[in-house]
Amino acid sequence: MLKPLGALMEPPDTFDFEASDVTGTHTVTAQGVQRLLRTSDVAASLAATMALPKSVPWALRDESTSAFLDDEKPIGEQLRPGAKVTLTPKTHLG
Amino acid sequence: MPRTLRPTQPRGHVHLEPSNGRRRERVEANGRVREPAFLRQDGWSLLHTATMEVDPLTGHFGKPGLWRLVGQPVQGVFELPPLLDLEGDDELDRDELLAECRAWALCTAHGNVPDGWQPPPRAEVEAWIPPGGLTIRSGTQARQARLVHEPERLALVCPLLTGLAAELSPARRSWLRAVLLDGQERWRLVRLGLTPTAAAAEIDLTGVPPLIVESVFRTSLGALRWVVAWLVESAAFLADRANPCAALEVCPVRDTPAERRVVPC
Repeated sequence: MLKPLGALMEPPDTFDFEASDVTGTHTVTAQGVQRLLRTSDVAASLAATMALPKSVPWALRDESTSAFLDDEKPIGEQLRPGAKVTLTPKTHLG
Repeated sequence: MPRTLRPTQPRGHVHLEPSNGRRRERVEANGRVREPAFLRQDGWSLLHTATMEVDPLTGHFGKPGLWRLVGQPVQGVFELPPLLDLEGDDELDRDELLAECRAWALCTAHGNVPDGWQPPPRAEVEAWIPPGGLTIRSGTQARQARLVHEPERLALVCPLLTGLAAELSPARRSWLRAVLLDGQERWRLVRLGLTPTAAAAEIDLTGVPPLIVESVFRTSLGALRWVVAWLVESAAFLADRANPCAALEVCPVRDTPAERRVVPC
């Protein structure tokens, strides 16, 4: 039996959160982000939204824990809805 | 009574147009019905239905097979991609394979799944997807496609938009529809769908003959990635009410000058 068109189209699970760059200049609300998306892909998309340099690798840090999110894991496993994250360039010290 | 577009189920025999555009006798002298032949175009094999009154963005979404709705007036089209990885197979009975594909097309044209068809094991299908193959990025947008693997369905589906605002203006919805229709006309294989709250892209491989399932699946994944990447930023821009753009309140260019009207800001 065919499923209703709306049920066919809706993604399994999405959520919203807030992201800002490390200077606090840009803040965006990421809406309807699919939980299964890899964190690195979400970070790259946020960087593009904020018109940040494409040649820089970006990481996300959860402001509530100050912990960096794992790039390879789905973002939905690491953030709760309404969370605030900071988009930070990946730098290697020393 | 005004004509309205609404999704319709094909009734009885689906009339497939002779692919060479010429009318031909469908019943042979011995009484057998001759099935329409595939039209060959740039290495693709195509079948068309007769015209139908149906919305191209809802009429086939979720239904089995590669059928899509294109053109004006609207027609169904079944597009079998080139099977390049089978080209060197000398043992392949091409006539038999073509017959299987035609049977697939004819069966799914009625919205049916071929009797006894099952998808390959899920693990086997997942092995055809490269790492990150279901993630599609384009500029500011990222989407995760999903593999639909069910006893009677094999498909790839990718959301384009979710939670479309009910307050989105009619003009913006019209632009969004125009962009999706353009994508459906321009690119093969990928079927686009639009509801009041969401938009998505899919390719349905239900019923595909086992011999070509891997080839068609790999091509389909590439096609889905291409079309979603091509469309998603434009669709997201049109759907974002936070983008104040008075130009978007002008009717899409498909309207004739007589149909355009000034919409107050």
